Amino acid sequence: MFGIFKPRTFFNLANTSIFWLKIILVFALIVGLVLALVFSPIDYLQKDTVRIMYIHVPSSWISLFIFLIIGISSFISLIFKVRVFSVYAKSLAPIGLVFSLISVVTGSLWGYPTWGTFWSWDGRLTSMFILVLTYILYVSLWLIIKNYNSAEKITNIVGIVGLINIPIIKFSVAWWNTLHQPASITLTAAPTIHSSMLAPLLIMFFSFCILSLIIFLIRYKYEIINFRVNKK
Amino acid sequence: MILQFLNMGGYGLYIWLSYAFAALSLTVLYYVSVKKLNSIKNIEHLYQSEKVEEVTVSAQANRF
Amino acid sequence: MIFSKSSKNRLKIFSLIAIAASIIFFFIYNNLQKNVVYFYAPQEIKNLKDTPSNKIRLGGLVKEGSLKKNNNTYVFIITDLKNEIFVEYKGLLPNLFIEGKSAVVEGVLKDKKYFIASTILAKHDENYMPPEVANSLKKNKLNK
Repeated sequence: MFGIFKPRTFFNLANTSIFWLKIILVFALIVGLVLALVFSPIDYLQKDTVRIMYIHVPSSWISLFIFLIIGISSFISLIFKVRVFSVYAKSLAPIGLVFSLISVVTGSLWGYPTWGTFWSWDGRLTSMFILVLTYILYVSLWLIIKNYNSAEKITNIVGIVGLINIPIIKFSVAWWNTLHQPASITLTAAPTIHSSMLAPLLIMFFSFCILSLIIFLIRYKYEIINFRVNKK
Repeated sequence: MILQFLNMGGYGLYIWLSYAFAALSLTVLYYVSVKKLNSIKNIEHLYQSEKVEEVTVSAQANRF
Repeated sequence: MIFSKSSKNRLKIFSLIAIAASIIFFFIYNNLQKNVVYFYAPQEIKNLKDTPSNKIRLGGLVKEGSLKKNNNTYVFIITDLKNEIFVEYKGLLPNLFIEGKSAVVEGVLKDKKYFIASTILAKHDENYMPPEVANSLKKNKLNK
């Protein structure tokens, strides 16, 4: 069962599947972008600004999801010493960082025409800002610390501690009064987004997932080769 | 027609800036990753050739 | 030497984490203090013991039919459907500031029924739909 977590698995996947993933990505991205920018309707209140959602929301989801994986991988790596999990986390972190930055930047570009401000320190925006800081800390610790073993240990701790922030981000709009609107898509109720807008949102999310997977495989391959070279 | 599309009902600036930022940062991330991998391509072929592969597979079992 | 290369390294790493942790702690502490109460609802203002003199935020629905313009000054009512507070504001309104929708206003309380706003933020809800759908929803509501 744990066979899929061998270093070999993703290394082979990188060699065999990147080409096909790229083809899927191009198709999904074209369909998603055309739907998002041309065919999806305007919102009855926000007009065209709703189109920013098709970038903003998938990026936020992915940045949260990636940190969740980093946190869990860090825990497994630190406690059970399954070291390939650190390599997963290390390869994923820059992707999560970029997506969290996209989420914050597009969010404030969306906030200005709708709310009337680029930024406000409410619960959701503050906790998202802390996620960006955590990503920056995580990535820069890998860069600064030259000794692989100590870098691994310290980033593992950062990943575990940073995990606390994920539920705070998720539930901030429910726990506190925030400027940010509550979630439109939840597991328990029907989405409050019209289907003509839900379709491009989900297709863009799918394309971003595929893109993340491609970049992850490339970075993972680099890290694995690098890891072995350094060991010799 | 095209201008009307670009204008996006007056919100074009915000929308295009968002899409441009996302496109630019993701492209940079992708190419930096590819470049990193290419920089060690000269050792990669060692791991691709079968003989070495077998060694590394058995070695990695101990390592990880 | 006490400061061997590795101990120096450890010291660097330790101080880096300490600085980062204190920055993060500072942010969380600061914002939990102020922003867990990011805004007050009219009911919460009513329950306050005394009128706060510092800048606060007030959030709620903009009462339908209450928005009036006098020269450059807008006056409207923020309500939670139980309590109402008059708001006075000088300046431009954001596009999404609409009667019957939510808004967050920043400013000071003159008394518990009157708020002088310096900034207005429009808050929107989690519903997204095309105009045609919104219109037909409205029609259905009226027909009932």
